[in-house]
Amino acid sequence: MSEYLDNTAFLAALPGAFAELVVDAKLINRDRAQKIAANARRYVHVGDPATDPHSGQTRDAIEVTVTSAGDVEVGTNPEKVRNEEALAEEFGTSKMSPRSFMRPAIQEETG
Amino acid sequence: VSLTLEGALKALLESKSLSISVSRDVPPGGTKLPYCTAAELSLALDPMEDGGPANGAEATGSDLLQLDLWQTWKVADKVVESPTLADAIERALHGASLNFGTPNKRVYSVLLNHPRIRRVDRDANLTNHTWTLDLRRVI
Repeated sequence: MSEYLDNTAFLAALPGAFAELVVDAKLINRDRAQKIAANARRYVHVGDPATDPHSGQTRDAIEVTVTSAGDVEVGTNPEKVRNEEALAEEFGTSKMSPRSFMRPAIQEETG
Repeated sequence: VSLTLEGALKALLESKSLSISVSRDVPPGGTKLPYCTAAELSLALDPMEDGGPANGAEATGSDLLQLDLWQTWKVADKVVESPTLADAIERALHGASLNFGTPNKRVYSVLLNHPRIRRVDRDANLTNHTWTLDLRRVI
């Protein structure tokens, strides 16, 4: 957990087991979180709907939520896209280069 | 001077006695493990000064780059991943300056300010260290 929203906080907030692709910061306001979410939706890879039955699934899973503790989170909703798929997009795999969308989105907002 | 950023990174690592290839996005066929891949994520220009690069001022910015180290995980059920290589790469890179390209594009500083991530791909028998690098550089 970090007081500041930046890519350091984003990466530090990733649990060791990659449970969720979410950035979590106590002092972020909701407007800023919405901007990051909008940026991420622009950056995320969207497959060709003619050939990809899951086209836009990751984009549509990017959400801003407020936890019961009052923390604002930006990230993909694991009920809408599997965390493994979102993480493979963000960081790549041994068979696929990264198509990062969260880190550029945060960079655009925070510089 | 290396023509590419990947070449400059490779030369830097070699200067620290780390002989490891660095390829852009995907290594050429036949590249032996361990190796590194580098993928540019995004680039943000600094605020415009002196009329901007279109009027002769230098353009600088922050280049976000993902560097991955790939290593064999196990051989005959025994872990063979180097316990020191990732740290050595980190020590070589953090704070380094680079030159690449024609005309010269100077990287004033390579910053490893973000946490390093390690993953294991059991199916492919690989370990993967991932860094998110901030390259403060001339565009």
